[in-house]
Parts: sequence; structure tokens; C-alpha cells
Amino acid sequence: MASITPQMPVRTKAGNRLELLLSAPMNSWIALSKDESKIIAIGKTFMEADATAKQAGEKDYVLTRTPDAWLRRALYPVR
Amino acid sequence: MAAPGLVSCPLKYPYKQSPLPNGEVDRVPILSIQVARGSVLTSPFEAIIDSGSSDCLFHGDIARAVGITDITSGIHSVTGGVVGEAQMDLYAHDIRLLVGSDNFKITGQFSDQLPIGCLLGRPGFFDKFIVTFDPTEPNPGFELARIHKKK
Repeated sequence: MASITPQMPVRTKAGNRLELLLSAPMNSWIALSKDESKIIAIGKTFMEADATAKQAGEKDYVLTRTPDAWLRRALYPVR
Repeated sequence: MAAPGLVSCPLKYPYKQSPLPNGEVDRVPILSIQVARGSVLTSPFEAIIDSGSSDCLFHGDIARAVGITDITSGIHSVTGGVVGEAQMDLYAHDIRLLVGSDNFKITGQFSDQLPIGCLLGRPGFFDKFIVTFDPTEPNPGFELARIHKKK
């Protein structure tokens, strides 16, 4: 499966997490640089985003998943 | 009588921002964690700390990243939320959770229906840490203190 790539490299001032999250496609995994200044990789799956980040030579990043929509959510699952 | 627990020094983490509709912003207790199974270890990923969750929930992609190719091979259960009709299929698998320099075995519940990467709930997380939430300005955040209780 081909990786999703942003139209342009997404880079913001350090710590502009909101701008980066809003620029990312929904229902995707994104690899954020540790200082949250740029998106290193985007993938439909965790492994795809992780592999793309590693291929880019990055070592210091954290993966996060964008939801289907940025909504107010009451998560609290109970069984 | 239970032996007193040994509590490590708490570590403080800032809340992270998450978008909301209409340009509003949520502040969320998010922790960077890793998961391992056998010798396979994931890269760090973000998890939301959720004291209301009755389990530690992970997106199915995390299972596949540690070699669980078919999440439905785990014990099946169904979870609901505060909205009555919303249900989610969960599959249990034993994993190791890495939080900072600490790691421990837990049973994770995995689902491809989870809209986010991970929720850290009561069994598996809140039974390992004392969590103190402080959402007040100017520095909203939370503290984690690992607790080691003798059984």
C-alpha cells in the first residue's frame, strides 16, 4: 500500500501541535517529531507510518492516530 | 494486612492540545508509551489516560506491530460507551507495556474500531500508577507515580 504523503512538507514552529494535527488526514497514523515542529511520516497503518519515518532516517519521533473527526468525545468504554 | 506500597517519585507531564470543532482546543492527558511482545517492540506512540475506561484499549494496528497478525485470535468481548447503542468488539492479548523506564505485563484489549491509538484505563495502568490530574492553568498537566504493592 502506498504511503499517504502530504502535498507539501508540513513544518511549523516548535510545539505547534494543533496546526500539524489539523493538517493531517483523518483516520491515519502520523509520526511527529519530538519537538512537535513537523510531521515526519503519514500512513494508513501504524507500521506504514513507522516504516516511512525510519526510511527518512528519523529516530526521535512519536506516532499518533488521527480520529475520523475532531469531535468532543466521551470515551469511557465499559464492559 | 497488606504491606505498604513503595511509591516512586512522581513525574509531571504537560497536557497536550487536541483540536475540537469551531477552532476550539481540548487539553488532554497524553502519554508516550511503547508496547512489546516477546522481542518485538513498537516505536513510541501516544496514549490517552482515561480513568473511566474499564480496560487498556489499543488500536488493532498496535497488535499487528508486535506480531499479532490476527487480533481476532484473542478472547472476544464487547464494550460500550456512554452512548448506549455504540459498541465495539475487543480481543484480549497479553503484552508488555513500557512507560518511561518501567515495563510490566498487562492484558490489552485490541480493536480496529477504536478511533484513536490507545486508551490507558484502570486494570493495567491505574493499578500500577497513582495518577494526579491538574487541569488548572497556567501549567495543566498530570503526575504519575509508580506504585509497587506486595500482594
